[in-house]
Amino acid sequence: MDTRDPLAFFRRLMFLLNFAVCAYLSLIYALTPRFAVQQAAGLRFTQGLNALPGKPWLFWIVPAGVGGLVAASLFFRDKKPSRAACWVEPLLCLLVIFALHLDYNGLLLVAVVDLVDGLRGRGRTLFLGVMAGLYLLTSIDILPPQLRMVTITEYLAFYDTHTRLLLQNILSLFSALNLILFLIYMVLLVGKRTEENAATRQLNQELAQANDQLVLLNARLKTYAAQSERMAETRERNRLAREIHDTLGHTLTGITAGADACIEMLEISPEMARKQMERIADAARQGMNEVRRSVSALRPDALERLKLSEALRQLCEEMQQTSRAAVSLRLETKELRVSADEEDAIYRIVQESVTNAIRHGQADEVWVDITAAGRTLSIVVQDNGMGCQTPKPGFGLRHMEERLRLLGGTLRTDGTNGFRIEATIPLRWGDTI
Amino acid sequence: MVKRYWKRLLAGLLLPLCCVAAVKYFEGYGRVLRLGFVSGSYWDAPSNCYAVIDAAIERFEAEHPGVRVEYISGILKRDYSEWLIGKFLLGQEPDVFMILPEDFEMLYELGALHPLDALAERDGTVSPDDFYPAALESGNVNDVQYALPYECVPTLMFVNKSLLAEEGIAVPDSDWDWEQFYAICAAVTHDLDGDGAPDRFGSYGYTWRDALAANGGALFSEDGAHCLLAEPQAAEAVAFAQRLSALYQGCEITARDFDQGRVAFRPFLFSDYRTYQPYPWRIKRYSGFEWDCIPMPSGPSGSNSSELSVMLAGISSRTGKTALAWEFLKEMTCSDATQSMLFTDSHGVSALRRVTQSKQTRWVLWQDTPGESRLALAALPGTMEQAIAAPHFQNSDQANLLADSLVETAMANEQDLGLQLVRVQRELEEFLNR
Repeated sequence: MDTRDPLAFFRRLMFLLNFAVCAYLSLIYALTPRFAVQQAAGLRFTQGLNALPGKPWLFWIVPAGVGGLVAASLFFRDKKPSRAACWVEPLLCLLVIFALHLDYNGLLLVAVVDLVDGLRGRGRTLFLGVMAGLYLLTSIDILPPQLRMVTITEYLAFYDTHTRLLLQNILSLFSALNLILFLIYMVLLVGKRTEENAATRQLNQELAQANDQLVLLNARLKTYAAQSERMAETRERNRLAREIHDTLGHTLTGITAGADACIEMLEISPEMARKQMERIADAARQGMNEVRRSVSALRPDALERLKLSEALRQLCEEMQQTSRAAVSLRLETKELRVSADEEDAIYRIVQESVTNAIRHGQADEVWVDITAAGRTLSIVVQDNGMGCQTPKPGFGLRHMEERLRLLGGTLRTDGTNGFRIEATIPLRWGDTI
Repeated sequence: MVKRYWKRLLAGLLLPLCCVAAVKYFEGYGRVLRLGFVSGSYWDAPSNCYAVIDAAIERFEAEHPGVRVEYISGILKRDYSEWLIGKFLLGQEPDVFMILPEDFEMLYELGALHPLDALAERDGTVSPDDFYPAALESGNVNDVQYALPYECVPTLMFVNKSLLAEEGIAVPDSDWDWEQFYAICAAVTHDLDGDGAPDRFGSYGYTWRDALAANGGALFSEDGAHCLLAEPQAAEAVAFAQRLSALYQGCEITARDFDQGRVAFRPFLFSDYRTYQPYPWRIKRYSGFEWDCIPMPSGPSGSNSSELSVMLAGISSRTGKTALAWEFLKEMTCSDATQSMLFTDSHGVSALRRVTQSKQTRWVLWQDTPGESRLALAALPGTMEQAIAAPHFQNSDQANLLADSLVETAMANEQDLGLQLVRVQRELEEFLNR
């Protein structure tokens, strides 16, 4: 329980006040006959009574009943408000009220205050109805004489006017205070409920707004998804184009170069030309295979079968055989463990660079150097060809750049002394060199 | 496990122990019967009241072994009401107690008395016919018996036989009437010393209430809702009282006049008769003349009846020992042994017909009383039968006081008595229905 909760505070205050009232009344009931007997005024006292006052031990019911009420309140407060509480507390109240000769029924208000908060709907209506009925019933002045109960007025009639007024006023004050506390509690409770309702309403409103926004965002997200799908399509198309260029272009370059050599050789040595033709046919067949592969998996065939290092070595050998250029490969490490997309990129970059050096640079020597420093892999392809001051970014270079950008890498070219391509790829975690 | 075993053993031992203690405690509690008892006689007659009650207790305790009856001795009549009500207020009231006539109505209204009808019915040995009707009526409200008569005293008419003999008038018969009474009073009242004011009188202390009882009238209806003062019987009674007092020409008759033998008649309690007739009290008072008691004179519509004064006994409505209390109440009020002791050790009359009319009682009374003054004894059973009880209702004490003062005023007034009684009746009804 929160001590700063005003409802709890007023509830406790009411309990305290009612305990005081009950104690006050019990004292009057218990002590007045005693005073009367002490003053040998028993006859005078009883003349004003309509019945015998209860035996003194009967008044122990009052503290017992009030104590029971407090205990019940504490017991049921910790638990969920239950049906038992709605029976036990009013019954204890009635017990005390009857023990107090129906002179004080404010205890019923305490029971209402204690229980009304935990009730809802029909149960609450029923409870309040019954309590109102009991309150009215116990307020009827005609009841105590019918039940042979001595009322407080009869007790007070024993005292002199001054004392009587004093005692009566104290009781009236207590009753009024109890009523005021009850009203304050109810007003606070209604206020609290209203605030709670308002807060709930506001939350609902916010929720509705958020919902609207969500619908909007959802629509936007759908648009984004469509756009992204289109972009993916484009990217895929580009990649296909690149792939075709890489595989077919490379093979066709080899075939073209081989065929040119073949034409020249045909006159000098038909035997050599025949061998060259066989090589060209091999290259064409391999290219065919590669195209088939690429179409199915869009991956370099060599990489499918071989490790990256071996695939690179095979690539360089084939290049050397199909052209007159000498291609030398230097791998700093034998085992390159990089992910598949990086393998693809490395392979394609090397393939493209060597192809470019032979096709455009007319080079007869190409050096491929792959090194790893820190978590960066660098590929340097240098040739001794004619070089190019302003290399036209054809398909090859642009594709290389795109591939590298996808991996977060960079590409530098230098055409002043032969042609030099420097590509760096940052290695991702999990990659080892 | 061991701990639980011990706990069970302890509980198993403590529970029976508590039960035994409780049974023992309540056994002791149930075995002591408390009695509220007035010392001395209600009618201020010298009596040996403790002898009667102690003998009753002794018999009761012998019949109920293990039961003890306790009472506080020495509570005088004037303190008894306050004492009893005080005990009730403190919740320490006796289980069985005597009830003074004036307290009965208050105790009934407070609900302090246990209704006895069911107890008597279950018992089967007590019948209403055992008692004189007026005596039983005194403890009855709305046909419910709340108390039984312990001792009663009827009112008789004291007759100064010497004075009547001096005047040459014979002592009237037991069934005499108002006219005889008035005639004798008129004949007796005259001036002896010649100072113009009468100094010998016919009656002293005879009020309109005595006349009312003798004329079969009643001041109030049984339920206390109506005043019957203007009814013919009551009006006749008041008129007779007025006529009688007119005889004495406004002279103030005193008890001294009576004691000195200057008055012929005076309403007289039977207990006083019993006190002053036998030796040694006989020579202390009224020794200068011969006297006896006869029934009250009857009115034209009534009989020789008078109001019966009854000391009652009842059971507390809050007693936890109703059965035992009833047994003791029976011992006090319905047992021949106890009731017959009233004639030997007290000066009242038993309300039990069979005791009052028994040979033994007659013998006891006969023995005590000198031969020439036994008229009252002969008239006693008749007087008891004809006696009437005052009705009980809320505030009847105050209503009676008011009636006394209003009727006295009306009688002193010279206007038409009938009209005045109608007015008084209206006033009293207003008081009753307040």
